Amino acid sequence: MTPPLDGHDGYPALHSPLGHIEEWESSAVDYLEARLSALESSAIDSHLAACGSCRERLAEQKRMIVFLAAVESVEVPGDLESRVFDRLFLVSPPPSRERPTEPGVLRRLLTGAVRRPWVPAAIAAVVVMVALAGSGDVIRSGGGADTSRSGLDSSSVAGGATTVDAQTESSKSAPASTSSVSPLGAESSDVASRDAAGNTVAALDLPGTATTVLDAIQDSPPQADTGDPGLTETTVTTATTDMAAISGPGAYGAGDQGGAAQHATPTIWVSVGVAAGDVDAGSVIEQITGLHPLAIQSSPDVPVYAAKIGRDSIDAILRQLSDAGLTVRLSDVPRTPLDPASALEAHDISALPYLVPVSPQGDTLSGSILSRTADTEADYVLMVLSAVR
Amino acid sequence: MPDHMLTKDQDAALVARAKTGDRDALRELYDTYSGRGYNLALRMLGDPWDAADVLQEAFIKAFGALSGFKGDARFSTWFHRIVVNAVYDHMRRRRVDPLEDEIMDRLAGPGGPAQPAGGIQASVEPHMDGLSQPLRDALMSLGEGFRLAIVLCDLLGFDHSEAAEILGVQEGTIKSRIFRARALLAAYLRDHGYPVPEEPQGNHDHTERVT
Repeated sequence: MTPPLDGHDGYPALHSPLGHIEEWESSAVDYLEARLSALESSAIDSHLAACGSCRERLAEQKRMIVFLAAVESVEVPGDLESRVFDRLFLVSPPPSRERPTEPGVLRRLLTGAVRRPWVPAAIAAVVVMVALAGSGDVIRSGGGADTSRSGLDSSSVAGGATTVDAQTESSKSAPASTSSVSPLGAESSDVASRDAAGNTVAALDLPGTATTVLDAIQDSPPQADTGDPGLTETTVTTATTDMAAISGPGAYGAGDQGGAAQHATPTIWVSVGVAAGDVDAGSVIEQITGLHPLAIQSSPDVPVYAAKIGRDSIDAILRQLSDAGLTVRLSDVPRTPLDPASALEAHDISALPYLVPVSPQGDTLSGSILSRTADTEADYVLMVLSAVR
Repeated sequence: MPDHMLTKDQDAALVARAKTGDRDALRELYDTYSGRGYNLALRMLGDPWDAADVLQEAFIKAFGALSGFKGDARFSTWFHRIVVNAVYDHMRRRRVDPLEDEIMDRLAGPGGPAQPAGGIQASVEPHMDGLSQPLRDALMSLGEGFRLAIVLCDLLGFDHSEAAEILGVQEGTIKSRIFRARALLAAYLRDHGYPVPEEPQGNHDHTERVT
């Protein structure tokens, strides 16, 4: 197939002098398959002749092509066919997916102002993944004082009692009714389990004229670490090697490894997942945090909301989310960014004040993403919120 | 790896029979597409049990929806899109919980992640073990968009245009994801003590697509 001389894939044709390979990645893929026009190939040849680092990166691509092509396919388990056809040929109703019957808790939340106390019973858990780049530090939260492995048990995921109790203790700005915070049920959105007074969790107590958490945070100076047990427990993990490896070389700037929670300007990856029972969770995120949708389409599967926030504001935001009744859990699993994040990566982060929207699929919002700032010296992080089922 | 065994016409004929409820045709469709479908789910989810569940779901969904399949798309594209969606659904359902598994996996002992038996210089032999742990970990370290692109094209042999159709993105997007995913995989494997070996003999400037 001879591509047209004026380019391919809808892009204008490459021509000399070329920049480095990261500017023509998709053409590099075609180049390796001999699918470029002679003109474009020679533009690449010229660049490669003079650029050892691009030659190496191309060589790496070739190695991976060969390597992956040699990976053998795995045989389909033998019993699968009968599983499929038994189901198909037997007359039986399809399994119905369990849904919370509680009607639109979040919808009710939205119609009432955010300032009112509420327990989003349908919101089961907020998962926040924070990785302090270069140090291997992990901030754990939501599990109270218990930051050992056992603290991260599945009950905390589904908003089980343990997590909520811890959260109750940690919710310091709550009024006296905090003690009767109702547990966040997983499936049985038991909204009725509030305290006798009908109060639930503390209202979002936003200072000043701020109407959203983000406003509040951005208005106020960064808060010192107050030792909130629910949010500031830090654990130095030995996962440094892991994280650096996962994110690839160069992800951690100066390679500041090890050390305490206070470091110079590490790059932080933050991802927050909010488990929710209905589609309005995304709007809830918007309401609580004030993060607005970005114009960029997100990755195929996940609706995400992201915004640049000051690195020092993370604790404050987590606290506010926690006060709003969302269980916050942190993990140390950094991943490479999905497409919107990587697109963000290539751009000036400071130009991104808003969120990335994705239309919910059916009635489920889901996903969690970690993104890193393009600038490893950044004072800002990309905070990504998503709602998961 | 690629096993596009049916021509478009054979495909269409088979699907037409399957739509009438012809059980043999359905089984033939299963035989034709289960291999790639399973491997797609397996590479995306990293777990054979999950992959089996997902593939089962995908086939049931696909066969159940056959009456609505119009044949304007290729069955392969349509079916693998169903598989991808089933993978996504599974990931969503598991999203909150399995993070703990991942945390547990990644919290290694004081020495960091386990070193391969052969020491730092050992490289992973793809022929010997279809789903070697380092490769699996490397794939799982990728973001889903990257993982999908590289699994579809570099592992399963879909061409870029069909992969783009399956995922509903531009071809250029697929290619750039593939480019980055390859680099990320190479880095991960190298950093975990499994540098990907050089090509066995010689260099070719324009490497033919390895099939």
